[in-house]
Amino acid sequence: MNHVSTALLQALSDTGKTSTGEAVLFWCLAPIMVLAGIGLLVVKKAVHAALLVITIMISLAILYIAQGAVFLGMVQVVVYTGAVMMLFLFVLMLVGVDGSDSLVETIRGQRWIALLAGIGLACVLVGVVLKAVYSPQGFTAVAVDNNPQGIAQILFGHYVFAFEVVGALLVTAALGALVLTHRQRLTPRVGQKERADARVAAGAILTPLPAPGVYARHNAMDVPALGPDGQPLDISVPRVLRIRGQEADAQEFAARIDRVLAGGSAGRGQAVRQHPGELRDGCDGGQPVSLSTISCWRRFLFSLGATTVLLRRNAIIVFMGVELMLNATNLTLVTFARIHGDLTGQ
Amino acid sequence: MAFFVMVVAAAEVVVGLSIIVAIFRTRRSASVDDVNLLKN
Repeated sequence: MNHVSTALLQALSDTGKTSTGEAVLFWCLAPIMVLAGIGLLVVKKAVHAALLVITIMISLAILYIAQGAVFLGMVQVVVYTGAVMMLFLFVLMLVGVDGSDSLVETIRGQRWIALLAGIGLACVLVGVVLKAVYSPQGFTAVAVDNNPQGIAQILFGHYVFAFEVVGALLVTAALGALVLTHRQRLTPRVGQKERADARVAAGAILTPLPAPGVYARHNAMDVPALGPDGQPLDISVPRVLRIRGQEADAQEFAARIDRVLAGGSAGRGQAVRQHPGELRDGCDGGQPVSLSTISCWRRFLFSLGATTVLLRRNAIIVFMGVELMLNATNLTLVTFARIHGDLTGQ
Repeated sequence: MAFFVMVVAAAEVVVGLSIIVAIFRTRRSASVDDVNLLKN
């Protein structure tokens, strides 16, 4: 597949407009993107897949900008990495990050059929691109002042109806998401009043808790206050100290008070300090992705996305595959827009 | 064209993810294999 890409670059450089810097950029980014796409097929955790897709999106944005589609590149960063992938991550958090993919085949031979279909799709797409006729003028600079202005002229001029329809589609999609995720409340809403009523009904202390050390012979935080009856009040010691077991023992302290009253010297109570447990190892070791063959053709991305859709079981990763396919299409659109010197592709 | 593709993709993601969330709420699973209501 390498020679196909070389052919395209050659077709561009025949017109003398593609710089070597851009070629170097492409050959740096394309393997990264293809590797990330293959990683989307093999990684187990959905979060890793999302990170790989973000890598692809950012690389695509760089490629867009390098091809002169500055506005589309920025929109790509904002919309895909900023909005869509964040949405993916939010849903991942809702649905459960730790849910890893099952590797059991429910349909016999599904994996091999999917792989075969992916390879076949790649072959078909490469064939199509090979047979494509490039416009005779080759890469031409678009005759507008700058990229956003040209795109605005096209969007709001020739394609204004499609633009409105697409806007309506977005609004409909947002409403649909609201309807789909809306849930009817089965229990009455618990507000401040209900919580307060429940506390009173449960017999909790309504007034502020007594301060530690009040009326006692010592005002340290771990010394319980004495009630009107002279008995120590456990609740006066801060909860954190009680949970840690660092409060002075109420019975022992009462005995100490007796000793103080009797004229003896009270020893300072020793607080038991618990050391926190040994540090837990927090990293879970991401698995690196390594594959020997690197073929750098953007259509490959599309077939990778299609294979992902066919192979993966986690519905979220399947959606990431769909995103990959759409983005590969976008990259092709931008490239052909550039070859034809026409902003319509963007 | 790429812009339109992008918008359609965004709309699709919004609806698709909300469907996944709705399915997850009722069936406690996001696996494609578990969604077999249409199968007898």
